Amino acid sequence: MEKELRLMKGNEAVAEAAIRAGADGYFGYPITPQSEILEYLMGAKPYETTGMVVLQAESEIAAINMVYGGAACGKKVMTTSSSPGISLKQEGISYIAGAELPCLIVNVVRGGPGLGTIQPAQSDYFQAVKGGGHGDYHLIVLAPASVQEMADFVGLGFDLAFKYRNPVIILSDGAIGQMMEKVYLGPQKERSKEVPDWATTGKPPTRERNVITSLDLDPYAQEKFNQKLVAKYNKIRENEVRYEEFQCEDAEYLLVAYGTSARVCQKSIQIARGQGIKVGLLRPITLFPFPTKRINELSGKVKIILSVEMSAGQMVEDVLLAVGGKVPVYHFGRMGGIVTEPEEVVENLKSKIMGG
Amino acid sequence: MAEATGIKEIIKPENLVYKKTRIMTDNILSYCPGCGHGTAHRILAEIIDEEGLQSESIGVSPVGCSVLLYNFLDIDWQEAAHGRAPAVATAIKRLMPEKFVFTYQGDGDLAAIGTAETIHTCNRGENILIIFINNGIYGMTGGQMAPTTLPGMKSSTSPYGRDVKIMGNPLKMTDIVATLPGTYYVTRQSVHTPANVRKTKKAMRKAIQYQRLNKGTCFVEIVSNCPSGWKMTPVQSNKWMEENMFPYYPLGDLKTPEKQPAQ
Amino acid sequence: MISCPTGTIAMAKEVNGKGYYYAYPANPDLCIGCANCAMVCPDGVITVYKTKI
Repeated sequence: MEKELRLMKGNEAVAEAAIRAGADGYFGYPITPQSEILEYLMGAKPYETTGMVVLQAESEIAAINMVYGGAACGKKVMTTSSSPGISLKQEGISYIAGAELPCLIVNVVRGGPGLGTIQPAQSDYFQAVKGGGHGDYHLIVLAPASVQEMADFVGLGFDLAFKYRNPVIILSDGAIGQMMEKVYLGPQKERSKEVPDWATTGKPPTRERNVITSLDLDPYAQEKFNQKLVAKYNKIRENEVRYEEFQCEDAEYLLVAYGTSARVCQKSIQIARGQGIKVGLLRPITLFPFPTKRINELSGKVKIILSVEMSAGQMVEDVLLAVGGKVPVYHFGRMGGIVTEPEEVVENLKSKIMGG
Repeated sequence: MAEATGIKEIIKPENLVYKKTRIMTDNILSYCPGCGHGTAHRILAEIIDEEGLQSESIGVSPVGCSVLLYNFLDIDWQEAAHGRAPAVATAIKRLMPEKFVFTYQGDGDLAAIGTAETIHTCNRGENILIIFINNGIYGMTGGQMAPTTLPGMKSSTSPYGRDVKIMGNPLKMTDIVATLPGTYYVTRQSVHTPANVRKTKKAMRKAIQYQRLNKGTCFVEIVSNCPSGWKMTPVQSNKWMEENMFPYYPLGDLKTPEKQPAQ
Repeated sequence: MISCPTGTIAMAKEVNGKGYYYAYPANPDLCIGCANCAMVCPDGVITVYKTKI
């Protein structure tokens, strides 16, 4: 299987990967720092090659509802936005999860809250992992740390979405969206002609009508449905955890970080080990399901865990839950759109080692 | 009497004048007595049956009194979030252009929260049919004021009558979308008398046939009553509708392929 | 009642199982089979047959 090597921006890689994954539709709205995705798709004109629909909607809300409509027809559809736009989409995402529809959402996170800044941040962890919209549901959350992963996770995201009939979100950030790196792109996949049996495609005489809805006024039926979702998420927790370890075999201290912060931490480890501090990194690739078990195992071998995230401290809560009080857990990270520097992480870790 | 023996002879398929179409399921309708929704559903179902569109139709149901619409017509349905049905329908039609895609919305869905979706879908000229049931009030949530509530009309959130100085004038969505080049056929009808039911059915059939031509959005408004929200009997509400709603929302075609409105 | 041109249908004086007053054929002999009633009925419960006597 030949892969094509290109030098691309993270945003562009998402767009190109979507075309090659055989996506059926993209519905989006411009917002910095991810407008390049929509622009690239409009420029590439996939509706002339693969027939993929690309539409600039009148708002992020309209875009997520278009995704709902397309997903309910059993098609591979996606939308992208950045933090304030993702906030707008929350009702739609809750409806998609409540109707058990597959789709892909990409959040290129910028500093918040409110209108915030346009520089990168990682302050949407709670929104993506803990809910965001109303009701008991979860999104499968993939956190890329390179342009290659931005491209790879599009195909992976669609596969997981259709496997579990659940929306999947790629939680990126403004740095990865805008940086340029080498990326190997897979070949063009054919758009799928398979129609899931639950999809609304027009009722033929051979089956009952399909109704895609998230409403059930009978509380007992609704509870059964909620239990079904709980079972689904437990299955996802058992089977879909993904993470990467970096020099953890002999580590005495552990860093936990994803996305851009993980790249920063890799440099921090180099600096720290040069100073004799044996530190390793666990990089969660899936934020839901969170690598709880592995972090719990590692917490038995290390003295301090430092969660590094460009936020006021969001992922650290899940790390605390995973560690269960065995060792001290701290959080460090710059905010406001500033990318943490590798030296800062090392200094912070050293201060915790001294102080603790 | 000829009646007693006659009945069994009369009930034969060749003597059938009118029967409820098979597209309407046998589920009991959830509407209040005398509500126009039931009649509007039936007209739509009859046309889908007569035009043979059951296996081509995908409907998008709203949030409002007709949220359970998907239980009453035997076709594929998608339930949309409040106001977003035109966006949902846009995606369905763009991804499956050979299907008959329509939305069925109330006044809150289409003219309040969904105003942006309605206008932009019509502006893009999506090849769908939008059915707009306008009864000047929010029925499902208990009779609150709608964007289409008439000046001076009482509702649970305008207990002293709609004051246009504070709440503005009623919104004539149908007139607004008729000015957009993306709409192809725009009409306003009602279903409270047999004559109007026939006219509405004719208008809807035209709308469905035009929709096949893929020349733009077809928009059918049905001015209807809400006995519960208006706090009247069904008979009183129909009379009130004739005297008060129709002067403000006159019936008739606003835009046909031959006649375009003055800009 | 209103839509019926011959006065065949009237509202019952009792309520049905759902608690509503319902329409019923009070004077079935007057029916001419125009089907106005069936066309206007919001609940779609009326079926009309017609034959030459």
